[in-house]
Amino acid sequence: MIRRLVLIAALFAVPLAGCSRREPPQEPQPTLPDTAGEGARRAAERERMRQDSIARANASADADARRRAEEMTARARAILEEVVRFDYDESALRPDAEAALGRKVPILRSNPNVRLRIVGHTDERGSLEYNLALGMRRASSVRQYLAGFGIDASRFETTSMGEDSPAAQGSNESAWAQNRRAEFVITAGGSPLTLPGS
Amino acid sequence: MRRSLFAILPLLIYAVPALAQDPPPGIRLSTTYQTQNRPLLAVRPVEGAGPTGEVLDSITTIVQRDLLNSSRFNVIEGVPQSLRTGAVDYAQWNSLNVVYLVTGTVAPATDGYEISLTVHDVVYARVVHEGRYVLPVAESPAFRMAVHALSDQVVQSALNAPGSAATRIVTTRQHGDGNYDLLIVDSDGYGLRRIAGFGGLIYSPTWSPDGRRILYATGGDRWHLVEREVATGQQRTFDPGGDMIYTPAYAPNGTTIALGIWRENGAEVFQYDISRSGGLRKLTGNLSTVSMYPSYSPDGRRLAFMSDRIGRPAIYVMDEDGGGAAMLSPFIAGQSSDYAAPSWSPTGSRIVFHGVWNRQMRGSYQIMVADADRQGAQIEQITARGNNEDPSWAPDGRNIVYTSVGDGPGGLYIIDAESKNRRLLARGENLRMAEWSPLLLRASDLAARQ
Repeated sequence: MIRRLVLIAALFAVPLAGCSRREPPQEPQPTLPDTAGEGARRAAERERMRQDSIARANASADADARRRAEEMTARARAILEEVVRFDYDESALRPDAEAALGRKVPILRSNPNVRLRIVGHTDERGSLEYNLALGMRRASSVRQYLAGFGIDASRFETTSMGEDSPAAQGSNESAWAQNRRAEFVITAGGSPLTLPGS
Repeated sequence: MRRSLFAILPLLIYAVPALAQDPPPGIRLSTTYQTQNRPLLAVRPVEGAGPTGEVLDSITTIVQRDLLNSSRFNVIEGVPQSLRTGAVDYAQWNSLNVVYLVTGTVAPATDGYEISLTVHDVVYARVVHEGRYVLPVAESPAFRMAVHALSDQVVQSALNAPGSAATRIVTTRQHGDGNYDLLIVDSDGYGLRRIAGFGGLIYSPTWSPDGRRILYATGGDRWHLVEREVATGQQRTFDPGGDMIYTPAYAPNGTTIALGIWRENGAEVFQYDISRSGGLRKLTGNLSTVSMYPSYSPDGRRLAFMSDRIGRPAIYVMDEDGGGAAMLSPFIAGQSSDYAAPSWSPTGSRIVFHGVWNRQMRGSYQIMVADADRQGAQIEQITARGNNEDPSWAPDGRNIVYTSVGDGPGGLYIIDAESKNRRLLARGENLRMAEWSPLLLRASDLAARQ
């Protein structure tokens, strides 16, 4: 299910990134009657070159702005999607998790249309169905923390994959530590994103 | 100094594993294999003119294997040639220490065979059961189940106890991508097949009391229940609400179910009426902890369930209306235990569940049996190696199916709660969750018209 969401998000993201704003094509310049003579022809040529140069400068400035917006969206998205991890059998937030969530807060504030799906995960230990609930408890704990900053809790949807969708394979502490986590999927308002203060 | 250290070393080596393995007071490790008290039973090769020798052999073999699987008999292998035909000579069978003898004669009938089945008590030299039954042709998919029903009749006639041969086990197989298939397999390991695979999650499948339907939880975007008619594949869906739903279980009436539902900040056990898609009623707690895994007593008046209300998952028993909850799993001060997935015996008050008495041992769950009527009594731990989860009783109240990895090939295993004898039912490390059906067919359903 998560993979499907990511795929859908990617499908939306690619066309949006591709269809940047372009200048409308230049209207053809009216050709002066031949009777106007050589001087007039040169003046027309200069005027055409001047217009072209302005158009080029405008296009370049637009591309810069576009690139900056895309970069900003990508940076904001990375912060929003940053995974938070949990201790064994715990849904309480660790200091590093609180720090990661704290970084999301200003972006959630400056992008009020953003909605997140918070997906809780567990390691493979623990009872199968109980792990579904433990994942849910982790997702809820994240939602409560974010709502504590005054962000409307209805912008967050919580769900759990239990132990069914490990980030790392293996039955060792390193894999388990990576798998005890909450992931974030932007379900609405994710493009473009602004970073506060820019 | 150096010498004394070396002297102590072997002691330390022995002491450390002992500390890790020995259960604390309150749990009795009971994994001894004992079969000496089982009566000896013989199945005389089924005779008959009409059906091929192959058909006769397969009836004999299925019944023999079922009676061995029942865990209630030792079964004679290879009946002596002199005893294979003719009138039953009780004195001769007696001299072989045979206590029960099964004989059968098969004749062709419309659309199948008619079998005359006799169960003899050799010691008392008398017939304890005689019946005529109609079996479908051997090519029919219903043939094996019909023979299983005859095996259960033998157990019933000989010991006045229920059998569990005419049953199936439902399980799920998890794919590498996290999605699940729904599988069923006969009680003797035959006929493992996929009955549904949706490219989605299939959790906690359970049988309706009439054995015709399987109910499970499925989710992703929106969690709901699916009830599937096994014979036709027809499905009904139910949405009891909540953010997630877990571990449904039918009450004996087949229309009330109990299940875990996540709302707000926790999960509790609710009762829900699927006959009218409503009547949702909370049985436990205040939605700040997790309670799930309900399992009804055979009379429907009590429920076992799991709750982490004291900060660790433990097994409780409560009244059907949610009152009078009491902890059943052992509480040992200083040990952060973890118990889950209770299953109430269909024949009594025993409750089987999986667990560890120290949560650092999670991932190596063992199967444990407790008595709902003797709360505070010692719990019996009946497995000792590997990781064993999600036990479920057979309708005979004696055999238990569970998932196991790390103790032989991974897969579904069946263990006899009395002898602790264990057999592999279906191989597969990715088989998750298992539930034993009620009896799906009885010999009386096959009785020939007189």
